[in-house]
Amino acid sequence: MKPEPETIESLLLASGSRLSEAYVLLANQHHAGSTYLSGYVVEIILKLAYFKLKNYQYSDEITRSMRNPKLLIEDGFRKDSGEPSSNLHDLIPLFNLFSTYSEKIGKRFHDPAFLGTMRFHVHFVEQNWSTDLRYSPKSVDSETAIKLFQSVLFIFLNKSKMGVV
Amino acid sequence: MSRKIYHFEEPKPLFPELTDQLAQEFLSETTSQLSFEDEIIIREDHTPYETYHITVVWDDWEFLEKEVRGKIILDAYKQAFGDQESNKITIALGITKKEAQEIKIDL
Repeated sequence: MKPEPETIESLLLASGSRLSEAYVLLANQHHAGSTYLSGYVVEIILKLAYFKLKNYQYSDEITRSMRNPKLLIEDGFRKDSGEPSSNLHDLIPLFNLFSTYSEKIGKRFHDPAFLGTMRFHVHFVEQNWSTDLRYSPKSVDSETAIKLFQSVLFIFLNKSKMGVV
Repeated sequence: MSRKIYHFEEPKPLFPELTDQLAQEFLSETTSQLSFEDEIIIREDHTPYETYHITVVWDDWEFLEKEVRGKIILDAYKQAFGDQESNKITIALGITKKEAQEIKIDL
């Protein structure tokens, strides 16, 4: 089956679907599977937050240039060290892309304490998630999986504060 | 016609003691190698857009939610350097040493 073109709206819907699936897996003690899917929720929300800052509409298709890390570096797609990132699954550079670009265009968010909390949760997920989990036979302990899911839930439930509604 | 004017009072810091202590720390902070041995660790990132990102690692606020800790950072910074400087803070993150290790934040 040929997939539908990916749009901003389809990404938003996908984030909700991945979150539901991650919850079902967590509730059934499939911690690695839950963690694996959870990370994508954060990745999608952070990308959507950036796209909304760029004034893309929900019906807009995700183009090749929107997926090109090289084109995102100027807007802040960098690690905390300032080094450019080349991996669109890297969550900290995605958070930095959102926060840096919002400052670049002078769109200040009114609650620095909220953004700080968001940053903490993004870091926590980043530390415990990798797309390589899909190849890993290792499990994830229940405490980490639950804490990671709580972080993901915080990010998902507060996405409107980052402009994603 | 008569009129009555109400003035809103400036909100007081939520946790005055923690705010005072952190404000003193902001004022006394000298640029040095950050170390987990210190009671309070402050990382201040200055962006190209004249804004600051502040991270404070401190165990005394373990009992508080992170957003409350962030508000204490803002109050303390305002107390130390005034409104104009504190308004430049765009990210305020308050964590404990355990949390700093959990997220392996680069200090």
